[in-house]
Amino acid sequence: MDKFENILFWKARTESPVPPQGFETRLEAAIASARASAAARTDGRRPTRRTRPLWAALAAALAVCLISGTALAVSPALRDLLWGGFEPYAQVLEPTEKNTGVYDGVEARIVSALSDGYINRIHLEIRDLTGDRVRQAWREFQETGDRDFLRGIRFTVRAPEALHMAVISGGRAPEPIGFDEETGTMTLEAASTAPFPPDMERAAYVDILTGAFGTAPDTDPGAPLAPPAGSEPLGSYPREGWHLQAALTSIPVRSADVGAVAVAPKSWSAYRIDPEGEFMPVEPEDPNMYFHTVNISQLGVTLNRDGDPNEAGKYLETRAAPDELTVTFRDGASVALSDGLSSAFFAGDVRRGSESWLFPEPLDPESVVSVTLGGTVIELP
Amino acid sequence: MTDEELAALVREHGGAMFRAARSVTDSDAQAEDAVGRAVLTAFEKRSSLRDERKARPWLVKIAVNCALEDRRRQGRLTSLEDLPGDLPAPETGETFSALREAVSALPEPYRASVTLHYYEGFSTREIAALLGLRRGTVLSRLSRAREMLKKMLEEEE
Repeated sequence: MDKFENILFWKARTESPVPPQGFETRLEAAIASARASAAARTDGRRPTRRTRPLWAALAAALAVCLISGTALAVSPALRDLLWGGFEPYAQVLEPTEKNTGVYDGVEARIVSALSDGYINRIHLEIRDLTGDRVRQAWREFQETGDRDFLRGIRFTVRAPEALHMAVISGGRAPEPIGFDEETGTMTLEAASTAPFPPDMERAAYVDILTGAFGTAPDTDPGAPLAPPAGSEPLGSYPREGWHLQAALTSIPVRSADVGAVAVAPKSWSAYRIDPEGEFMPVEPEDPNMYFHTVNISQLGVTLNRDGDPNEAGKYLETRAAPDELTVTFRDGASVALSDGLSSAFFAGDVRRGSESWLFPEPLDPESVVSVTLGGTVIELP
Repeated sequence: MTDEELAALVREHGGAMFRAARSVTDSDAQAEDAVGRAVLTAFEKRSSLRDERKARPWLVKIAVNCALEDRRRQGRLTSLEDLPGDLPAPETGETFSALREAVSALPEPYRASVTLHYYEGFSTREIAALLGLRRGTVLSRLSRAREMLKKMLEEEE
């Protein structure tokens, strides 16, 4: 947060406008009117609810249709919304048995899974094949911000060869980002960091979505479903729900070696793992973090550390992503990014940490001339 | 939730509802109209408020939606592409402070994000949900609004 933003916050707190004279009286009148209206409407009727067995039967029938190749294509409106700026990198995935599924009458499909090796961005479409639940959920979300219907949707990114590794550091829950009125299809977006060891093939990583619409997944570690074909089992799978899978599509990355730039992030935190395995917050011995490479793609910016002097074999965890990263472009424009994710992995005994910030929309990596973190400007060669 | 409990929440957050609605309307009267309809909506849809701790964003969201609906009906919703290159000069003679004056001179798409963030204390994620925008869009608008405000306040001095 820069000085001007601090002033904005302070001034806003002290100069907040007051509603006009008589507002409280008129508000009371509005409350009284609303109460009277609500009382008049109460007639005891309840909306009809369809039964679950019907949904289940329809879902099974529709699943057969789906596998036969009758799944809808991505709607044009959503295609424009999502991929307009990503061309030619992004490809809408063709529906397959793996990336599309139906559970409880709701179809889910991974339509895009992009990765620059540091940031993953996944888009999912859902639509109700048997009713209007998705449309209702979208309206509810629009009116109240309620996203409870997402609580059953989880995703993870992992490598097939890494048996039980389901590393998602800083993964973010899916967010609804659009709705196509014509087809009743909602689009969700999820993001995570991808702490991939550099010697592993990015394309080998897969994305798996599990869960269901509107309900928490019913997990039962003792009786897991078979994982998607070709995958090793995770710790547990939901007993029922969608099991979707898609290979990540790699997009190009601009990588710049910046030596070991010292940055003192304003809001970074440090943790040490104690003998019991608990993360304990610690005061860093050195207020600086040292970044060695800057990687930029259309998805965002990642600063990488090849180990950290603070660690000294002490397994120190550091996170800077809560800080805002300012990206400056060739034409002098800049954008402040606060949508940050942290991740880390061990390559042998060396801990490699990454701090990633997502672009609000696809941006040209070649047009970036510098990034600024904690007041330090990192010029890109 | 009983009528009285909901009424108490509306009274508590009525000011925030007004300020949020005012950020997307052109006058106090329009904002009050929006708040009036928002109160009615809140009583109709009270079952969607499952956690009273979230009452403030819930009520503000409804108020903003009602105000935006009014603007849409009047065909006055401003698209970012339609904005003029030069910003209007802040009006003078009002009782507002210099900052408030500058904020009120911001084009509507920016004014709403600034009001909700700096005056009402909503996070960018909450604003995205409130306004039905992507969070990135909110961040961009705030960033651009800061630049505009800075310029306007510097010119004022």
